[in-house]
Amino acid sequence: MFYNLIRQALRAKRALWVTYSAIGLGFLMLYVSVWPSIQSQSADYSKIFSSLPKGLVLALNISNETPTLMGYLSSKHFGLIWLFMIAMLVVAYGSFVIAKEVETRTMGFLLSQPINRLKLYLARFGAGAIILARFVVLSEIVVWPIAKIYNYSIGGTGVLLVGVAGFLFGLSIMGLSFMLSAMSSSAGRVSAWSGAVLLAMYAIYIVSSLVDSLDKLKYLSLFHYIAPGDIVTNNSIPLSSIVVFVLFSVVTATIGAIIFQKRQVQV
Amino acid sequence: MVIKLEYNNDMNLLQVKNLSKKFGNLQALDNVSFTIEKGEIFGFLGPNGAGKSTTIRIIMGFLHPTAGSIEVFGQDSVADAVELKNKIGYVAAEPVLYQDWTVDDHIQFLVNVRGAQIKASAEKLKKILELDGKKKVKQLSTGNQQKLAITLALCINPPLLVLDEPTRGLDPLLRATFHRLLREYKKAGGTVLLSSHDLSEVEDLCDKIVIIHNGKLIQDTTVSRLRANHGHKIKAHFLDAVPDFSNINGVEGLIATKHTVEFKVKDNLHPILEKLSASRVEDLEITSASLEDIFEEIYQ
Repeated sequence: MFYNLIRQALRAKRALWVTYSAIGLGFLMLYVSVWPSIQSQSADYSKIFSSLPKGLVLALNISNETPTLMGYLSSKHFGLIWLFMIAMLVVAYGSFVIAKEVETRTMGFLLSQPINRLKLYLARFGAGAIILARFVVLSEIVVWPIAKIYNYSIGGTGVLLVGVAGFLFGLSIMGLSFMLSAMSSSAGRVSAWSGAVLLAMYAIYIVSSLVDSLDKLKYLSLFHYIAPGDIVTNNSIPLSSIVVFVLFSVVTATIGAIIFQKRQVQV
Repeated sequence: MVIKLEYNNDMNLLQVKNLSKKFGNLQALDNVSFTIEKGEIFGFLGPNGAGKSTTIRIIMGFLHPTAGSIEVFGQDSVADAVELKNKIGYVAAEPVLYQDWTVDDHIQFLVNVRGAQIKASAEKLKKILELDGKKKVKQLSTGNQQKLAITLALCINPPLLVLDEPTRGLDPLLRATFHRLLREYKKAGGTVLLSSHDLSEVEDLCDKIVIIHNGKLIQDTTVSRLRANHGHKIKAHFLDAVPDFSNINGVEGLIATKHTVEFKVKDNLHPILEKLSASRVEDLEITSASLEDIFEEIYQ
């Protein structure tokens, strides 16, 4: 039954992950295709970047080192657009999981069956993790074959590590959206709350990078723990990032599970 | 025969004990108690907002009572909610189906959750109710969506059916088919909690009825007892002047003209009939109070 519940959620949200993956893939191809012109102007960019405040360079994930394709992609694409796509994907999925099903009353169909609520919740979370993994693979790992099409070579571990970090980052936001979804009966409200929390985290991250006295605030933002540029440069994901993402995901998803187990459903 | 029940339980199937439910300041249910016995079709009546659906949602474990409890098959409706769903078929007052799924997708989901044994009865019900398995729910009319909901509730052959306005949106022919299925289900030993606005349906099907109003239980009786308690309506036309009925016990709502009289009587009809036989009656109509009349009276 657990497997069937996962399959049901995957089927219901097929359009979601296919659309996001296609958009992610499109962005990736766009960035790879403009790479030759970027490469030829790298000296000019280097000058511009060195004139920017250090905090801003850090906040925008701009690397000032000798550019490589993956370095360029990790700062321009994986460090910004791709992360927001991950956030949007998991928030859209998280709001569907409980809130949307209560709103459209289909939760009444599920709960009128002998289905344990915790199993249902975990199956939905499992399906979410699969959707996220599919998106990561289709929008990031494919950088290898795409680079090959354009006759570029690209380092192996960096790609894989950015994918893993992106997946963990997505998992932590999914935990947050599951928690909010478990409390609400409106998908729109879950999206709005999740969006507000993420925007606040991003604002904190930017402000803490720009204002020295607020530097410590950066630890409150999930965006601080993911820097694809650094991951590619150092060829490793900081342990602190892994711990924060996993902990945040487990804690928020567990709170959500407890709320969902206890909540009353007007369907 | 579609319905084959394999359960045998002689106790009270469903006991609602001092049930109260509050939503903020709103008292949706106030100390409601009733019992449903095995093999009954139990009518659950009340105007909109009376608390019928709230009670049903507590039976299904979707909502928790503020006070009191509901026991189904001796188990608590909230604590044992998952296990109880193995024994309850449910039709909700509002559609709860997946718009993008086909009829067959819904049945397959139930097969995955409850086992392959339900497939045969689902197919038979689909045939009886003329449901197209390939159609998506969003392509179905309200009546056809209701047919699917009924199919999903009945195909699992549960010992208890909880039906919240199940015939809403069904045409008279399908309504008759559904009533036949319910009678067949009852004959096989099934028990039904039927919430309905359709009083003729209740009159036709139900052994016992409970009426709630503003969250309070106001009647727990049978249809025939309810009718007996609310007496008869009498309309008579006389060739001569109308005799005086006002001094007879139990006479209410008397309207008299020169040759016609109309009134209700709650006590026995004997004194009325005596008076009528002493007069020259041209036309006489004695009818039991209809459920509509009774409800109108109760709700007022």
